[in-house]
Parts: sequence; structure tokens; C-alpha cells
Amino acid sequence: MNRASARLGRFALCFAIFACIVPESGSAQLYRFGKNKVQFDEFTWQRLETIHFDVYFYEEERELAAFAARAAETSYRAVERQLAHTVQRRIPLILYSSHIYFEQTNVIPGMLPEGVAGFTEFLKGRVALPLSGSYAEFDRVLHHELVHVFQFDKIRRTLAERGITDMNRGPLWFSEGLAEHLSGTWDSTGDMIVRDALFAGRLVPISRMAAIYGSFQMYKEGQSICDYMAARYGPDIFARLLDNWWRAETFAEIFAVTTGEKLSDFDEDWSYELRKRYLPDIETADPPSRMAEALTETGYNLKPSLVPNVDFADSTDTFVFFRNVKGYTGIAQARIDGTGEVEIVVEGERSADFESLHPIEASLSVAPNGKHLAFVGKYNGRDRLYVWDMETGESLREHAYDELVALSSPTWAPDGQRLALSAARRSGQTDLFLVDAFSGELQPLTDDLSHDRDPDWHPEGEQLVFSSDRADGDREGEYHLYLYDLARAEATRLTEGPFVDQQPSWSPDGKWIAFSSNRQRMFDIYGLRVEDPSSATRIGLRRFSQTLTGVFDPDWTRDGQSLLVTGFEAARFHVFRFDLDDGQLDDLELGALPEQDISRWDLQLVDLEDDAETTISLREYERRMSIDVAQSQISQDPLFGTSGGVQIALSDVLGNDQYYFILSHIAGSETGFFDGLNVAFGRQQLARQLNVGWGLFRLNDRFTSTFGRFVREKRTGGYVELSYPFNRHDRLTTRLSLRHADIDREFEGRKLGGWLVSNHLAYTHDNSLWIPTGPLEGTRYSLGIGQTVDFKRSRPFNITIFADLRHYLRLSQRTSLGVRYLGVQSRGDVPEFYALGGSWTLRGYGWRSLWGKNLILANHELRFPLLDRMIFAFPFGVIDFSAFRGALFVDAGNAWNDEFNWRGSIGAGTRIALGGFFVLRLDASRRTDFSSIENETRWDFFFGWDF
Amino acid sequence: MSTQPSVRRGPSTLLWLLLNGLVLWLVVGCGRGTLYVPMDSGRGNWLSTGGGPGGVAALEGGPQPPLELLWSQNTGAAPVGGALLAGPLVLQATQSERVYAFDLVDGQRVGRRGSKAAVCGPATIAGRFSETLVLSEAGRKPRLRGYDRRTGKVAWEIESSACAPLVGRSDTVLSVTDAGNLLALASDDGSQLWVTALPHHPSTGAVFTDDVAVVGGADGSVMALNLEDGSVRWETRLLDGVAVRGQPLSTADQVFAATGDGQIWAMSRDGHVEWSAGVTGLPAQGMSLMGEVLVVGTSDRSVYGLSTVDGRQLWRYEAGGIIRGAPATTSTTVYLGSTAGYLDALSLETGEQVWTYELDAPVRSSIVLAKDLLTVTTQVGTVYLFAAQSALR
Repeated sequence: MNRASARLGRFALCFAIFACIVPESGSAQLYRFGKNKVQFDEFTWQRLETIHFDVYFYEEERELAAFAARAAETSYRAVERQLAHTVQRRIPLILYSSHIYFEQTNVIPGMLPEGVAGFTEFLKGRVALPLSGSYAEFDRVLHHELVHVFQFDKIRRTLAERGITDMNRGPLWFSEGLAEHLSGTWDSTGDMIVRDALFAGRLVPISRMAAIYGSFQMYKEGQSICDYMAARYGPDIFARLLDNWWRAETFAEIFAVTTGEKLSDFDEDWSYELRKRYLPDIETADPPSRMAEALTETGYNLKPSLVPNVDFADSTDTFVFFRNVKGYTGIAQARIDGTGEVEIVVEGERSADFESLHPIEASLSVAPNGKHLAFVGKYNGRDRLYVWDMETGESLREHAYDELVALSSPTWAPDGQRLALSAARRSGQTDLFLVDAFSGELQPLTDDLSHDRDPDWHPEGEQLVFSSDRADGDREGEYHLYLYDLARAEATRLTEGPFVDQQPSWSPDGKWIAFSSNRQRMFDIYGLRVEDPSSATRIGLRRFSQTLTGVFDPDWTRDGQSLLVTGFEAARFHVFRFDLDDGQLDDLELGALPEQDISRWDLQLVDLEDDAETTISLREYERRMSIDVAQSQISQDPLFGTSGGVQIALSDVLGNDQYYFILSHIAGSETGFFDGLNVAFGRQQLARQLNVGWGLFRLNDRFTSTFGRFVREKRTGGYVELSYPFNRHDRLTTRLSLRHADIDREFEGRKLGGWLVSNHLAYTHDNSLWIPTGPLEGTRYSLGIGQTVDFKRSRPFNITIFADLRHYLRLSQRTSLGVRYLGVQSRGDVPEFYALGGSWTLRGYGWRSLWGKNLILANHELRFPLLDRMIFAFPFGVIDFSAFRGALFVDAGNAWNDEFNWRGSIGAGTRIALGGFFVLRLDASRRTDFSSIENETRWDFFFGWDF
Repeated sequence: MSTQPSVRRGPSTLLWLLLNGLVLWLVVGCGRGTLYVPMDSGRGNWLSTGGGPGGVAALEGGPQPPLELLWSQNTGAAPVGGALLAGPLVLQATQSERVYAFDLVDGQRVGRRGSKAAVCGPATIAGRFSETLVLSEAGRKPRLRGYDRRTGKVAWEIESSACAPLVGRSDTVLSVTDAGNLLALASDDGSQLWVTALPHHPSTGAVFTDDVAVVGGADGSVMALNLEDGSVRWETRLLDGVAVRGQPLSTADQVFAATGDGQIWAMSRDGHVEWSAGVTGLPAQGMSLMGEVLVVGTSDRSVYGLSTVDGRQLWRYEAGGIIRGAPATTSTTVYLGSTAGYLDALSLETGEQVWTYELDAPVRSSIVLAKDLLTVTTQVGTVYLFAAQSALR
């Protein structure tokens, strides 16, 4: 996994210490935007102890845990051998039987996209990964992550032994490239990515790798570079580089010390080598756009599925496909002749209903009646099977199953009543199932550890063709085609060889099976001629395409003369239609099928009970707490004197139980020792959907200044906070705090005190889509109310209500209009005060220069790109800014106590994203009272994302 | 009322403090630039035992198991190379920019010297009376420094960046520099005897036997140079694109080298390849040889005994951890340390374990022998000195 998320995790954790533990006195601080990581499932964890690992698993994934224990030890030995290094500590390995479960992990705080196959967390060296269905892939990802564990342990130790405390992990392309290099061989996917980059003129040299930071292309280029390093300097080059890590500060210097060559020279040689290897291929192969008609032009488009045409008045067929143009994946429909507009059938990923459509793993299928679309969507921690009426645009049926976590690739039976699909059980085992489309009745077809996927129903018969790794006993990642006869309940093997044969599709006459395969290196379309589906008699094999960069997901047109495919070109997926031309097709020899019966995988499962021979022992899960963050700080303030303290965060290995502790002291001249002591303790329990937090505190804040005025408040008490996320986008949060407070509101000349009870309640929604500088599309809002009462005297202090609505209207690919309407009012004897002014709120006015118990703010901001990339080359290196954007804005609002009058400003600004998580903002504005505009231009230079 | 200090520190007080500090500095020897080494530390016999990864850690006779621990001392930092046995001293360079000297007999620390920068690679002792400790120091101005171990003073220094293991003998110190030169220095004053620009970037330090020095290259070549003038005597390309890994090993009849792909190569003294044999994992920093058995440790937790005649695998022993330092051999025994934190003794003939000792931490440096003594340093900086029980009796 990329390290940025791990870094962000630490940053977020530090921030969370304050956010979680210090009870606020104002309601406006109660809500925080952001999507929710929801614990829809509760797991009873156990621990498997092996020689080097603590494997954490839950009962449903017992078989996976046994496999992982063995695979982890095997990989450990391999990486130890490869890097000549031993990791002396035990490595926590946290397993999830499904990516859907994996996305709920609290090991790191950030959201996990579907493309993340596993990660290594660096604070505690934990490795977490899910089973995607394929044990071979699981094995590879596990090996990849262990390379990270070894790599960074070796770097850490090498530096520590030399007394170097600054942990330089090196460039991301190197660490990910090394992990890819050591965990697998260069494969068709690597060929596809690098060859496409080369032909599209997008190959990024090492010197500018920051331009593709964290992308899949960076992973594959990194792997290619490491492959070339090993070929040029020998397989021990990586062990030598890591041994020399202490000798220089930059990777280029370490490389030079180790190899005696300049990294820039190596860079040139590597790209020259790639050209030498790949450029000759253009003589025999073409990119998809030169051999087929492109049916889509913008965005990412994949998994075409023909819509059977029952309307004979219109002779042009259509197809449905996944489409992502502006960041959200939906289902679209277009004509196969490329004319007409693309129509959106289902808008996905904007609400909990279709939180994800799994465009990479899943596929689409339209019933023979041409009306009913079957697809899979994620809803509240489970996949659902949707039967969608394409005429009305409404869901006819939605089926979810307790025993099935992830669903994919539904295919309609000729009767239009049944569906077959591939689905992952709670254990992670992926099998084929039969579903009654309208009653939802479920019937398993296969039941074994192999990864059965991509079923396609014969146009007339009772046979399914599907792809499976059931003969891949050595876990090389091979997939072959199989025919499943429903009457006999048997699967018969159709293809052979060390290839990935996938995504089969029956021709309309049932005589051909088109499929995507890497039989001749790149993924191309092949056709298997089958005479009698019931007996699975194979007649011949033909190559249908020869592309430079790969094609996938074939589906036949109605006349059987063309194929709709997904083609990869210029780093994009598009839908193409190519006509089958007999004259250009190659007939290939069919290989002999092995004679052995299809059998279950032999995973060499071990008994999980204590077994001295296997050195694997089953243990109960114990919540061992360990430190996430421990830091101390001393600050000096001319007004308040010296203050200092420590902050400690602890959590269990799963991150479900978190403790925070803050101890600080304000050594002010007027305060005694106890008076200046700040102590706070908090706990958050995140294992369930209802997140619970509580804590105790004793604080003496000298400037509880949300509005730029001094308030002194001594607080002693406790709080309980409950947060219930309904789904990824919506949550309800409430907090109750009881505290004894002594409040000195200097600016009012009032001193107050007593036992105060505060209740806050907020509902927050966030489905915004972000770019590095801030939200681009979607909606965020939070509504809430809070009340504070002196319960001993029954004296109401205040009631505060607030509403914050933000909407981002996408005007074009990278341009949007953002609006924010914020209103807060606090009433009562002791109202809260709120501040405005500055770059984050009302521009053109001083930072928090306006304040009052009432607040209204309206922002309108047009956000647009100025420069996609800006590279500054300095003698010491290159700084690459990935997003340089502009903004035009109109702000209006005020914060007041008694008399309201509008204040406003208009202006323009720029934003520059630094490192993916830091944004510099510069705004120039002029104040207005909405009848005239001041001549003076005011400047705000600050940091932070757009609202 | 103004407050006055109760004690006034006049010039005499400061002088007294300074003198005390100076005495303390000299006695304890903790100041930079001071290495307290007894004047009568004598002549070392380290040359015959190797003394570090640069040499052949093999000794006819040598200590036979079971061994008895004489003493152990902790330096508090990971070692750079194996310990150096020099007369009545055991010297250990560490990654904390310090070199420690221990009394061979009772293990008492008799000296500690802070070098001016990080010790970059395994050190060596050179000179007719083994009187010069040579360190390669990294930092902004990398240096090779020769220290007179009788006075603790810097005897000579030259500008040179070199982290490959140093090797020395009575009159010469050889250093392979980062710039790709093989540098021969006079051990008594550090003057340059000759320098040869190696045609290929070196990946090992130099080793020598008699009048020939041998260096491995990052391009898979092995070069032999005349010690007299640095001229290239022969060059053999073992493999394209695979670096020579760890120190080569040179005897009167053969030269042995390992490459990063796990191949062990034997060459005649004129550079002809006689055989090659494969082992699993990455070969360790050095090999050892006794009679017709070549001993190779690897990152696959394995130690191989190979026939020097034809490369045939005679035996294989699986240790509990990976082997990074050179093993040591006596007439009958192989000693090795691994990251499992054990010192193992194997039968040279069969490879079977005959004795083992649990250390306090993993071992990544080489084993060093001297007469009936053996020293090993663990990664946490503990120097162990063992002696054969028979010798103690």
C-alpha cells in the first residue's frame, strides 16, 4: 500500500488526540465532516501464533488463517533470503476474508479504496490484507507486504545502529517497485501498463516519478526499474542498497555509492532498454483504437454488455457498461454503432444504495427481454444483487444474503427468470450460485476453495462457462475456462496451459466462447469453438485480436460478427467494437487437457490446535495495548509563560480500542502548580457500528478563544460521546458532558461557575468527491443543537443551533461551483460566541475579527484549474506541484450580538497542493457592503483545503 | 537587595577545574582523539588468523569445542566488522564512532577511542609490530587514519572515502575506495605506494596472498593485481550483470569468489575458472577454508561445505538464522554465528553440529580465531571471548 496513507494516518492520529479528548465548550466544534468507516460486522478475533507471526483472524476465516500462517512463514524465509535480513520482532498479520470486511479495519484510520489489496502500517509494523477470492493473489500480496516489513526494518536498524534517528524510507517508487519485484514475476499487467506508457509517450523517468506518485503506473514502473536493477547489478543489489542506506541522505547518492554509477545514467539506460524491448512490437500489434471502433471517448469505460434488442423498429442495438467520467462510477447505456448520446442508467457511489458498483471485479448482464439489468452494488457493508428495470429506471428486486459478503458478475439464464453469479462466502471462499431473480432463492453450484468467477450462461442450454483457478495447484495465478452443466452438476475443463483465461462469453449461436487471455503475453481476445455444450466437445481455438496494450471483457453483438470489448490505451479504459474478420484471425492449436479429475485445492491446511510439529498455536485474542504516539512538547509564550506536556495514544493491535492521555502544565506566574495542571484521559471503542467514546478531564484553559477573546475556564469532569454512522455518508453524533467549571469571561466582566451539563446532537452527511485542493462535487451538511445547563441551580446557560450546508456543483471535468451556507445562533444567559474572518470563512476581514452569538455566512466560489503541474527545478532537487488552481469568490455574512448588517467581499485566489495533504492558499479580496466596493485590496495567505 | 553568588569562581578555581577535567579525560580515555592502549600491548598474531572479514578466518589447530566463555563485554553499539585480536588486546570498532580495546585475559576495558566520524567499514591492524590500527571514517571529509596503538595518536591520515573492508600486513595497507581505486599505503606513515584505477566498480574489499591482491567487481569480474606495483595481473569475468558478493578468498593455489546470484566460483592462481557451484540465498560477507573444504554461509540460513577440488557439496547445515559474517574454520571444526543468536560449532568433515552456545543477540559479523581463542561480537555490541577447554586445562 502506499505510504502516504500511513503518513496521513499518523498525522490524523496526532490530530485526533486533541479532537477526541478535549471537550469543547462550543457546539460548532461538535461536527466534523468526512466519510464514515462503518463497522457493519462484528468479529470475534483469535490469534494464531507461528514462529515469526501473530496471525489475527475470526472464526469464519479459519481455513484462510491456516493457509496464511504457512504462506507467511514461507514468504518470511524467502524475503529473509532475498534481503539478507532478519526481522527480530513478531509481525502482526491481520486477515480479512473479504475486501468488504477489510474496508472496516481500524488498523489505520483512513478510508481504504477497493484498489488497495493490503497494507503495511509502519507505526507498529502491522500487515493487514483481505482475501480477494484467489489464494494465489493473496499469497503474492502477503509476500509484497512482507517485503515492506523487511525493507523498512532493515532501513530502521541500519540507521539506528548508526545513530541516525531521521527515518528516510526512500522514494515510494523504489519501495513499491521492490515489493513488486520480489513478490512476483513481470507479468502481462506490467507489460500492459509500461508498454502503454511507452507508446502513449507517458513513460515517466525516475527523475520525475513524483508526477505519478502512488499510481498503479508508479508501482509497475518501479517494478520494471527494480527488475532492470537486478538484471544489471545482480539479485543482491537490493540487500546492498539497504546496507548502504546510512551512507547518504538521498536515494541517488546511496545508489551511486553502491553501484558506482549515477542514477540519472541508470535512468536513461532503463528507458532505453524498455524502448528496445517494446518498440518492435508495433510491427505486429496495434493499439485498440487502430483495430477497433472506439464507442466511448472520455473517462473510464469498461465491462460492456449487449442489451438484447426487442424493439425491431430500431435496428441499432445498445450496450450497458460501467462509466466513470467525473469521479463517480455509474452504469451507462450507448449504441453499438457509436452514434447518439451516452445515457446514464444508474448513478452510483453518491449514496448508500450504490456505495460501490465494483467496476473492476463485477460485470453487467441484461435479460433476454432487454429490460432487466442485473448488477451488483454495495450497500451497508454487504453486496446486493439488483434487478433493475431499464424502462422505468427503478429497482425491481434487491437481494442480499447473510452468508454471502461479496457478489459479482451476474448472468441471466435464457428464461429471464434465473441468474448465475459468483459470490464470496463469509469465509472468503468464492463459488458459483444460482439465484431466482425475483424470489431471490439461492442455490450453490460449487463449494470449494478455488476461485470461481465470470460465469456466462449458454444462450439456449443449461450450461455455464466460467473461469476458475481450480487447477492452479502451485498457486501461480493461472485461470482456465470450465463448463458447468446444471443437469449433471459437474464442471468440465475447457482450456489448459500457464495462462489467465477469463471473462468468457458465449456467442449468440452457442458455438464460440470468446474470452480474454494472456496466452501470447498481452491480454487479447480468443475464441474457443465448442460443438456440443452438453458434452463440452472442443473443436478449435482462434485468436481474435492482437493488441499492443490489451483488451478484456468480450461480449458478442447480436449477429455474432462483432465483439464489444474493454480496451486499455493511453492509461484509460474504453469500450471498443471490433468486427471479426476471418482473414485476419489466427487458428491456434488446442492443447491437450490433463486427464486428472478436477479436485479441490490442496492448501496443506494445518490443524489450528497446538501442534509442536507445525509450530502453529491457537491463542485467544488478548487486547494488548501498545503506543501509537508518544510525544512531548514545551512552548514559551511571552504572555502566559512556559507550558509543556506529553501526549500518549495507545491502541490494541486491531485499532478497535484506543486510549488517549494528555498531561501538561502551564507554568504561569500567577498560577499554582495544581492550578496549571491539565490532565485528560479518553477512550474510544470502535469495534462496533456504534462508536463509543468517554473520558475524564481536568483542564485550565487560558484562552478558550473561538472568537479571538480571552476566556479562562477551569473544567473538571467527564464526557460520553456516541457516534452512529448509518452508512458511509451519514452519521448521528451525540455528546454528553458533565463538568464543574469556573469561567472568567474577561471581555464581559463576568465570572461564572457551577456544575454544567452539556448535550450536543448533530447529524452529518458527506458524499463529496475530492481533489487535492478540496471538494469538487457532492454535498456536505451538518445540522445540530446543543444545550448547556447549570444543573445544580437549574439555570440554563445556553442553547445553540447550527446548520452548515455545502454543495459542490460540477461544471466541467475540473471546474466546479462551491457554495456554503452556515448559520449559528446561541441563546441564553451565557451564550457561546462564534467568530468570522480570514481565509477559511469571510475573506477580506481579519482572522476571527468578527464575533458574536449569532453568525451567518454565505460563500460562493468558482474553482477552476490554472496549471495541471508546475515543476520547480532547484540545484538541490525538483519540487513538483500537482495542482495549481484558481478561485473567484463572493463572500457575505457577519457575526453579531445585537445589530446585524451584511459584510461581504469579492475576490480571487490561488491554491497549490503540496504532497497531497497540504494546500497553500492565497486570496486577494476587496470588501463590499453590496452597494459599493472598497478600493483597498486585502490579502489572505494561509493553508488549508477549500471549504 | 541585590543577590550575589555565594561562591565566586575566580581564575584559580577555573584552572583547577580545567586540570581535573584534563586528568579525567586522559585517564578515562573518553575524549575524542584519545585511545588508551598499553604501551606493552605487544605484537599481534592477527595476520595469521584473519582478524576480520577481509582475511581467511582459518587456523590450523585452533580451538576445539567445547569452548568455554572467558569473558564478555558490551560496547553498547553494533560492531563494524569482527573483533581484531592484537597481542593482549581485543579491539572492536563500532557503529557509534568508537573503538574499544579489551584486555585479552580478563576482558577489562582498557581503552575507548572516539573517532572523528562514523567508522565506515571493517578496520584492520597493520605494521611490522602490528602497531597501527587503520580505520576508514565516513563523514563530510572521509579519511583513512592510522593510529599508533602504543601512543593513541594519529600516526597518519589521508583523504579517502572507503567503506570496503581494509586489509593490512606488516608493510602495506590496502583500501578499495568508493571512487573505484585500489590504494596501497605504507603502513608506517600512510604514504601512497601505488594506486590503481580499477576498470570496473569494485563490490568487495581486497584480499591478498603473497604478492597478489584480489578484488571483486560490481560487474561480476574478479581482478588480480601485483602487490608490488598495482598492475593488473589477470581479470576474469565470472558473470555479466551480477556483482561479486562478499570478500573473495585467496590461497596459495586458488582464488574463490561468490556472486550475488548464489554461485561460488573457484579460480586457479592465473584466473582460470575451475568450477562453480550453486548455493541458495545470498552468500555471506566472507568464506572460510580449511584443507579441501570451502565453507560458505548464506542468507538462506544455510552453511555449505564445498569441495575445493570440484565444488561438490560435501554437506549443508541449516542454522537457526541467516549467516552474514564469515565463518571460521580450524582443522576439524567450523564456527559460525547467525541471526538466531547462536555460536555453532560444526564438524568440518560432516557439517554436523557438535557444540552450540546461546549469545545475547544476533550475529552479523565474522568469527575470529587466534590460537586457542575465538571471539565473536553480537549485534548489540557484546564481545565474547571463548577458549578451548582443553587449552584452559
